[in-house]
Amino acid sequence: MAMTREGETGASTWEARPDSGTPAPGAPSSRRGAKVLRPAAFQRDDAALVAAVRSGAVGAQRTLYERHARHVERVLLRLLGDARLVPDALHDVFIEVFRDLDKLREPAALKAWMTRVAVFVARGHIRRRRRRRWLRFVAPETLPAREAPVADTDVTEALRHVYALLDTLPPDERIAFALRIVEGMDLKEVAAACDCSLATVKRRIKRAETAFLAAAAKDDSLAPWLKGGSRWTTT
Amino acid sequence: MDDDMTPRSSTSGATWSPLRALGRAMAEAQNAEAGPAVDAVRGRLFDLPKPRKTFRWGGPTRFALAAALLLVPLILLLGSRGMGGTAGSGAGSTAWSRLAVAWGLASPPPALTFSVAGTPGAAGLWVDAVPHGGSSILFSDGTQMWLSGGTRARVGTLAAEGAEVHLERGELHVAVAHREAISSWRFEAGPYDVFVTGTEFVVGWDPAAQRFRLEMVAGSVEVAGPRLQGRRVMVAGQTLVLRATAPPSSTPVPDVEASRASASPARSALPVPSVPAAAAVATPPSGPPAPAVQPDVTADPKKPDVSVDWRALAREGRYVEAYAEAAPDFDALVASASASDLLMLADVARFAGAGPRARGVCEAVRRRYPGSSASAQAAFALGRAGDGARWFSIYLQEAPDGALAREALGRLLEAQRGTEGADDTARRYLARHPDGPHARLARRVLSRELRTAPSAP
Repeated sequence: MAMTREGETGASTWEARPDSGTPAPGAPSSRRGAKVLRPAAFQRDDAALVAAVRSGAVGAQRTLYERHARHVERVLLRLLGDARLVPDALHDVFIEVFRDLDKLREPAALKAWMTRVAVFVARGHIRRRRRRRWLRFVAPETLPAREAPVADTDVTEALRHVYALLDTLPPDERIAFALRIVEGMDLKEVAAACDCSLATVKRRIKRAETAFLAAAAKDDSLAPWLKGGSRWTTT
Repeated sequence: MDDDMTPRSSTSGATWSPLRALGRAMAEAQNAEAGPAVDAVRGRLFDLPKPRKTFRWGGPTRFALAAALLLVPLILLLGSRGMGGTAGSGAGSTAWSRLAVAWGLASPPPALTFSVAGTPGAAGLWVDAVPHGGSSILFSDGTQMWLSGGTRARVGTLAAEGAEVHLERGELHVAVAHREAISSWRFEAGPYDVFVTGTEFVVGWDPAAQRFRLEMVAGSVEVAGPRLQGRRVMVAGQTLVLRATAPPSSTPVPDVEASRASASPARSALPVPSVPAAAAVATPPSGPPAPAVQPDVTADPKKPDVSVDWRALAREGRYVEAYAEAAPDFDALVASASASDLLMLADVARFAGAGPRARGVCEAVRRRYPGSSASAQAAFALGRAGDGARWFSIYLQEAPDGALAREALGRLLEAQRGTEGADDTARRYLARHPDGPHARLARRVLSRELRTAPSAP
């Protein structure tokens, strides 16, 4: 009978099985040689991982988190633009993911589905933030200084101004713009993440670009960035 | 999508795009901030303490208590012998400690730890945020605090379930991690204390003006301090502004934040002493000592108080006025109102001539309340606003026996008139509503009077 336990790293899960010969290179093994610890089946691919989470396998949820949390965090950073807002959003995303994982039709497409959930959660946060008039607190001039090891002041300043401008856009357009321009997704990925058609996402990006560029051209921090070339649109 | 932290290459060719270059630079700057959230949320999701077990007076509990009653005298006896036969308090405490160890009660959970901007922090040391920057404090339980520019604060006592934080000046944005166990967070801002159980808020203290400010984002807290009688409960959406003492050389004026909520009947049900600002300002300096503090608790933005006004007007059929009342907070209403309120809001917008907004509200109902009867009603409203065939069909699929089913089927028939699908719809209509208002149209359709397209010569 297979047993599972949390690995030493806390991030991986190992399966103890009867020794069937030479241990796999790098795989931890018991001293007595009775059993060899191998990575659990759901370590290999997302479909197996989804199945493991659905069946309640020990450590599966944590493995899912470790595998995809950084991607989701990055998407949320792109969408929200404020690192202070990311932990709650990230928490919400994984609560939604663990709750609704049974609804995922294509387990192999777990990552894309999680991106969609992240977009959904971020949209809610953006709307709630507007509703609660948080802008007063997180206005660009009051944002805390970035604590990057090597802080480029121009970039930091531009970052604040970019998201100050994005705050003025409708959430759906802002999200499409951020995924396309900042995260660098291709149009199909943006459409999948936003759960809408390619035509719709193109329209949103176009509108957002038009509004953004018009405002950015008047912004002292962003205008220098935009004078660097002759082409402005990306779609 | 790649897992590396660089944005993907463009699909638009080799033309250099400054916009994309800007986006790439933004991504790199953001990537430098990535990481802490993953660690914090990992703690929230997987390292939460197990919920405290509910005490049950069952068989095992009774057995354990009975065993304890038998063991206590025995341990006391052993303890007194160990002390040379003197049965005193020292022997008793030794015995009790042995008993405690035996019962596994002698190991308290570890206290929280914290880091300031990624560096391990020490209790008692002040944290100063630069005037035009800020800083952050992350606790081991996932609780986070952001110090706005110029803020000075320090973490005092640390416990397993919370900490004491002293805010000397400035503003703290606090997000206390939600725990199933009881937390014991306390924030001291000037003379005011904020007691927290698991919530998010912004607390500020201006020592020069003696001004305390608390803005609730989520959850609830209790506040105690000067001019407050006992503890005041604050819930999400409320803002409390207090002035501990009158500032020098100024007339005591209540620090009231401008808000339409201040005079609204939809204010919180909490007991809030409310003195109209104008009346308080008019208090003559020579009169009875007016309180220097007038707490002002604004309404919950989740449920904007304007909703009461516009709904009341809508119920009276004053749609244009209702729309004018709701318009300033329209987006907030659409994002937060209940399904029934949204349907009413859609009617208000429609009757006030704001068709696109009415459609937007209906789409919001569909999005926010999928599968509900309100969602089906929104589909009907969308059909009425245009693209009828699609939306009336959706309504009939979702609510085949709904209150609007006959009307939806009839309108679907109107929309399909002259098309091939009209026959089936007409038959369905006559089968279900042979005497309905669209029965005549259905019979005409079936008699092929209207089966040819209107544009045909």
